[in-house]
Amino acid sequence: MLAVTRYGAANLAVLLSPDDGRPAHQISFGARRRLDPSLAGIGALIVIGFGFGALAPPYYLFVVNTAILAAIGAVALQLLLGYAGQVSIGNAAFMALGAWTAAVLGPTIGFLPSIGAGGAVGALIGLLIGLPALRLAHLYLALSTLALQFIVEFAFNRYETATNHSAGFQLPAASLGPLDLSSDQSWFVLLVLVLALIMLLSWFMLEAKPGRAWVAIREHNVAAAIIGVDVTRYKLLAFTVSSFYIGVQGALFAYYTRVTSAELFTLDSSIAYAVMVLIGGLGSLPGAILGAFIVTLLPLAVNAVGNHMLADSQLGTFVTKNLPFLNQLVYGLLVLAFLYFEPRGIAGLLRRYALGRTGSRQAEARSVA
Amino acid sequence: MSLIPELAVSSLAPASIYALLGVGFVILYRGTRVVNFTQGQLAFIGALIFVTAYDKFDHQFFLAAAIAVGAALLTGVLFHLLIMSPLTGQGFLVLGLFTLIFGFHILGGVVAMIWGVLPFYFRVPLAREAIELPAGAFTSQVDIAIIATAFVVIGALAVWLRFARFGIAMRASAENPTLAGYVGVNVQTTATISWALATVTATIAGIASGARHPIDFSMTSLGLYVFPALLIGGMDSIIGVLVGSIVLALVQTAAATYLGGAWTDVTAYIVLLAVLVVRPYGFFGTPEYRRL
Repeated sequence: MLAVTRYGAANLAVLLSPDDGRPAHQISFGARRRLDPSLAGIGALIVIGFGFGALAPPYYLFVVNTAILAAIGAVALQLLLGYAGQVSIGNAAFMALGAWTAAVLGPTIGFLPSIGAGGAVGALIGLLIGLPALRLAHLYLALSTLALQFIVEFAFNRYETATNHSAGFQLPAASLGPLDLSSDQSWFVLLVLVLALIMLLSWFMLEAKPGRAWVAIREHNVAAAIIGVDVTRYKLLAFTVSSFYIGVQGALFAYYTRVTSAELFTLDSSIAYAVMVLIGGLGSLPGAILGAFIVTLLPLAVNAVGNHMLADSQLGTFVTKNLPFLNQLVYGLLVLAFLYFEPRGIAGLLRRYALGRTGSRQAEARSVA
Repeated sequence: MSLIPELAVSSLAPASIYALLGVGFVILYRGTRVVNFTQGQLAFIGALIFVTAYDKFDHQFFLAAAIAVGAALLTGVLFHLLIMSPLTGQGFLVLGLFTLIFGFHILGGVVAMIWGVLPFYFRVPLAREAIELPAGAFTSQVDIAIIATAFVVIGALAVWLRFARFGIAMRASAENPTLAGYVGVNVQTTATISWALATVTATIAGIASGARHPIDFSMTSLGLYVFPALLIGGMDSIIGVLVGSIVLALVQTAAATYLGGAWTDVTAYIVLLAVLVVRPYGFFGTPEYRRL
């Protein structure tokens, strides 16, 4: 889906760049961005995407749907981590809250309201967990989201046991009015639309006052306060918006798989979201999507290498035997490699590559300065 | 009622394990300002190296322990020089996340591939039978040995850091690396030694924990359970980490007794949230101020 040609790379880089060629962390106030190339890029991606949705075999569609779901969460974390500079390692907790809400309310209030409810519960808890963050530096905030991760996992587990749902909650089939959402194709369309909507909303937000306030807070919260940014308000806004999206993602995830349980939302999956954002590049929304796709699709690649390319060899046996651990290792090494060689992630890599191609030395110089 | 002294005594051994793990964290935080989420994995790896050596060399406890500590020293030095040192200057937001990812993904994957996922056991050359104390409390020789080890190791470290030049160098290079460099502190060496100390104390904690529990993947979460203790005490205070560990272990033991074993882990995090809301810098830590 994301085959990058030479021309495409340049286009993508424009799309990825948060600004006119400057690195993500140097977005200044009042920067004006021409949205046209990005919109063209998104349009192209959507067209390619729908073509894929119509033609791809169901298994791949399932994988891609999972990746799009992950992308929703990664974009939400990007807003919080990459823009507002607040570390959260509780992504899975907010997802769990959304999924839990959908599982409990879904049978009574229906698909769309329970997705909204999932988001609302996520946002509410996000707001509450953001409250200590107002006084806290990054580390302490990270710890309070870590605490949330364990508390939610525990509570969800207890609830499952208490209501005799130890095998998880079944959800009804999703439907939107007369539209029946049971096939992977229809889910693909829905998820692409949701992701596009969230991207668009996030973009508007980043272009407007909240985005500038978030970047100011990330760069220096005291300085931000001095120049008149309402730090409290915008920190809480970042938390609420981000956890709303993640709550929606959790509810969608629960409806998509039709069964949900606390075991799906562990610390490991929270960490995976941090990996997505770091690989994609801090401060780039499309980067977060790319990161989500890489983290979701990578296991398939490792699996393919183990099963096909190295089949019947000793190494192949080793790879097949240790597949989950190898996957973990590859994620970790990817993050390590990016931190070493291109801390701005794939977004930074593409930007650099595209700038080299077009030979725009000025833009290069500007991005270094 | 004899329950209170019983709780107090039975939470001393877990408190010692937390304190051993936490003291490494404090040293690292003081020396490098890196928030290390891998302490649990380091303890796990230390315990695994120990148990491998223990099986290989006819169950000689002290020889195996010496090998494990030596390996930990080497791991710490190499880990800093090869992995953390090139990342200096990334900002502690990214560094903290990185240690988390490194521990769970890289170390977790490597450990599972080398040692598999089955638990390991070993026997300490001490009796496990309960010893009855006055006031109805119970302890065992193993627990007493764990408490004594923690006492000696942490005491020695605290005294050394308080009075030796290194302790001051460490605080200086964490506070302001550039200025510390000007006055002749070798910032890189200081950081390397801090990492080595952190891995060594983690290994000792791992072995101590292995004397009471099976050595398996649940040990990696020990590194995350220690955070409430650190926060109660303050991230940069050794006395604080001792107090915090005792409070945490007490709360956990009480929760296990009154609410049931399932509550042990989650209470740690409820305590953590409560402390964050009430006193973000702990009861012994130094508040951080940021200059413009």
